[in-house]
Amino acid sequence: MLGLIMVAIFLGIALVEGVALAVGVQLTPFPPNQQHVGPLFSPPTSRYLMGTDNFGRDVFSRIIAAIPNDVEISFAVIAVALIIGLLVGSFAAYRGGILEEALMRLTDVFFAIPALILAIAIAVALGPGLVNMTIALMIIWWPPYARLARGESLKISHQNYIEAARFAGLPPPRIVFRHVIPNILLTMFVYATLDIGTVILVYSGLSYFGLGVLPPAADLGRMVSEYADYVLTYYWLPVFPGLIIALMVVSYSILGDGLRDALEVI
Amino acid sequence: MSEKSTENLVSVSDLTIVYRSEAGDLKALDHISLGIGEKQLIAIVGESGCGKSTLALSIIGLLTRPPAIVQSGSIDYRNVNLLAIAPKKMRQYRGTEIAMIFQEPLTSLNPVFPVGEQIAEAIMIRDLRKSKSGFDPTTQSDFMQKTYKVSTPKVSRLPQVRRRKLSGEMKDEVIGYLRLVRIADPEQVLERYPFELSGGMRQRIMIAMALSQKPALLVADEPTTALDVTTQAQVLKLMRELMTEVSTSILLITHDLAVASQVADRVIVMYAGDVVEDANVYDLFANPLHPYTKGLLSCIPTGAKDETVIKPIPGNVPNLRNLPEACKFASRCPFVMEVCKHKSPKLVEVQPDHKVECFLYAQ
Amino acid sequence: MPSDIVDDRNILTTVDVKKYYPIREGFNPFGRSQRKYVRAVDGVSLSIPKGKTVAVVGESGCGKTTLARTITLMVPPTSGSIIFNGVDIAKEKIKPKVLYRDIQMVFQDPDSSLDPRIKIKDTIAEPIRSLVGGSEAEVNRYVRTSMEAVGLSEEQGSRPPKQLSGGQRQRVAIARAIAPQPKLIVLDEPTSALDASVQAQILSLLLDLQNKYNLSYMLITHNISVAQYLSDQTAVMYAGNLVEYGDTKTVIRKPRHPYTITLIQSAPIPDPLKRNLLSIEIKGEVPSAINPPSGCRFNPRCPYAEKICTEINPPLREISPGHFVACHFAEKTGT
Repeated sequence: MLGLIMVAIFLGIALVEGVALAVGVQLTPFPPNQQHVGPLFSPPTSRYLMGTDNFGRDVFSRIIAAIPNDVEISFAVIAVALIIGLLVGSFAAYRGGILEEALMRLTDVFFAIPALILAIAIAVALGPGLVNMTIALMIIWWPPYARLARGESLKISHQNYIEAARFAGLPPPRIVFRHVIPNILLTMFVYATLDIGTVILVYSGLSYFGLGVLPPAADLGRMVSEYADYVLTYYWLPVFPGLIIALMVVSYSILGDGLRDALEVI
Repeated sequence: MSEKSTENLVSVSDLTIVYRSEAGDLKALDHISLGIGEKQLIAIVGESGCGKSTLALSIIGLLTRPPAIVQSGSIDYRNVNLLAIAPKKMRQYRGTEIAMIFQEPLTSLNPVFPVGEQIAEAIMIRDLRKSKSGFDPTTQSDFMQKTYKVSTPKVSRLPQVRRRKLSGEMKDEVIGYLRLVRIADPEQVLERYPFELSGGMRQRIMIAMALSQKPALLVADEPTTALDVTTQAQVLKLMRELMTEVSTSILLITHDLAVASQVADRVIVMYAGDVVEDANVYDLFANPLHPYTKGLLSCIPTGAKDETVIKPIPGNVPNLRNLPEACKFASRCPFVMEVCKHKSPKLVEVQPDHKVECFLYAQ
Repeated sequence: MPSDIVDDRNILTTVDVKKYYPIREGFNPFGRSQRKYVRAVDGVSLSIPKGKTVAVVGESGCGKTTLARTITLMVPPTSGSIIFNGVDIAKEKIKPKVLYRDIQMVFQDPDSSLDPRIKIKDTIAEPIRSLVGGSEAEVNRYVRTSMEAVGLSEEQGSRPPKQLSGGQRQRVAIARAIAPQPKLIVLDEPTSALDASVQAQILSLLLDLQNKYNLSYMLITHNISVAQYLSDQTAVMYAGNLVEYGDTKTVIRKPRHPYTITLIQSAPIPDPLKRNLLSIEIKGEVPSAINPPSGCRFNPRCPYAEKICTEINPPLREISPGHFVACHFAEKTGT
């Protein structure tokens, strides 16, 4: 439940900010991109909760502004991965034969694409930024889900209620949607919650290399990379963003663990 | 009459075991008493939920406590209360003097070792326990090397897997046990992996492993339920014959009254955690007393389609949590009386060597 | 042959039905591909008279479950005819929605035959919605009738399977099978996973339903007493072949095939004065389905076997009216 609360907090922040952005209201103590709101390199004080950076921007505000990036990309990528993976995996398992072979080998092809290389390629072709990185990750994130869906579907396809559905005259697509997918959904969700954190880490890595959101917009991964050299001097500059990244990843993991434990009881 | 007579190999006295859970205590065994004598085959017959598996596991000491809790009673084996001793001491009995075989032979055998080696391992552990070095894992390999010359031969050619070959005395002893369980071609079989063997063969291997310990008591939990009927016949016959050949007692847990009638000396009928009837096999079938026993017997289809009518027992097994003070069978009993709904009957010997727990026969 | 009578009296007739599963051993581009087959069902011909029960009896690996799945077209037959209601469903393409209106199946394991995420009244409704159609009210009517017929209350209908006992779940499976009002129901070991007292309830229920709705049953079982109690005719299978076939009373009380005799003798009788089990001598085990013994499949284990038994697999022949045995020495075996 701790995980749930933590995730809810992050989600809440993202949601509220999304609304605020649309409406044009500023929620952070200071405008995140505004320079010289305070002294340069100020350590954390009661006014500047996490200090200021080399441009005098408030770190706390920037972090709050940056959180939605990670939340959006992680949810979007996982959602798409789940959907594609579910469809590919469950149909492959149920139909079997050549279709299964073809789909699984296709899955292997996508599995083999390295994230960073693809991200760089897309950044070169379409430009960097949150949306393009989201697309890049969506392309390569679904194969493990397809494999998991296929494995779980195979387990289920031997259950008699699947055969009974054939005796009810249901065509294969209906059987997959009505009987196979609902019964593997739980396992897939547990895996997904444990995986969301990984998306955040990968995206942080990408923005570390400068492929994510462009400056001057705030981005957690980029903040860590830009200020890495200051870790022993103006420590608040890389450490706070890094901590927040870690916190988000851990909270998703805890949520996933909790989900898994809760489901085992059933 | 107390069960703690000196003739009995194992005496269960007033045993109550509950499973503690958030939803309440589930009373798996309710003050039950029974005795297993030497060279006897006792069959415990009951349907799912009656407590027979809990009983078997508690005798052999495999009950996880908690969540299982012993609320009363004892299990005496040769004047030692098995429930009161430390787990370490129980290990001296389990597998040596009290052995067990389970329902599903495929999962009871290790899939990555040939069955000959698994029997050899059982024999080796038996001898280790009796030797001076005691049961200490660090000296195990030395002991193995010195006593049995189990060595790894050079790899002969690819892609054959390196195999340890049993040699000499150990191999002879293993073959001896395989022959004991009537396996033809023991030399071939001992190199086979469990998945290469049929269910019946695997069950015989289990029996061989159990008997290699020279146990005084063999607990068999539904050993033939997963087997074909012809294989079941072979295995049951084997168990009965081995009992006299090897001087072991057998406690056979089964849901099948017919199986019990074929091999048992004594039958104990259980229902919802109670022993409801306890008699020698001939008396039980000739003169069943408890209404549940009678009901079970009339459930067995014995005739052709238009000849017989089986009378199923109406209703369902009661919920074992929060049981009221009453006979557990009352709601389903065709002979139910007023007293049955308010008091629990006790197990009483109403005829020579024939005990029953029912108000129809005793107050 | 028992199935020479392909006529109105039988709801289903199979003629020499075979189901082989190919095994591919390795990939050798230079050699000929070794075509080996698992001969799960190797030429089975039988008939099910309307309104009656035919039991198919045998042990694991004999092919009886494959036979059930083949005649219901869950798997396509390798060869042979399956004549249901006058139509050879093995050869003519018949739509599943039409076929399964008339043939239904009850599976062995009550735990896996119901979707755990679906309430049982919806599980029962599913074949109706798909095969029969109609308005919600009509569908509900079918469901209610089925549930009443098997003794389930409306309240139980709103529950998921895990809140019901094994026996109740099997009732749900039966309700689902009878809901579209089929003509033939294939029962695959319907009571093997149930306790004795529950088994008795279900067997009585099945008999009642058969009488009430004039259903035909094909009963797959390894349990002789269940076969005897429910069926009018019995077919005994061994290693993919039918080895004996006839009226149940005859086959069970006067078996002639050595395997049938062994099978009946192995069934434990609930009477300690008749300890048949302790005096049997059964040799060997069920043969491999890939490399069965040549000739009669039972010959390595048969006390009557002679040379001809290793050469020719005996066909089913009528040794007395309505009683068929596949044995060269059927005359000798009656003791």
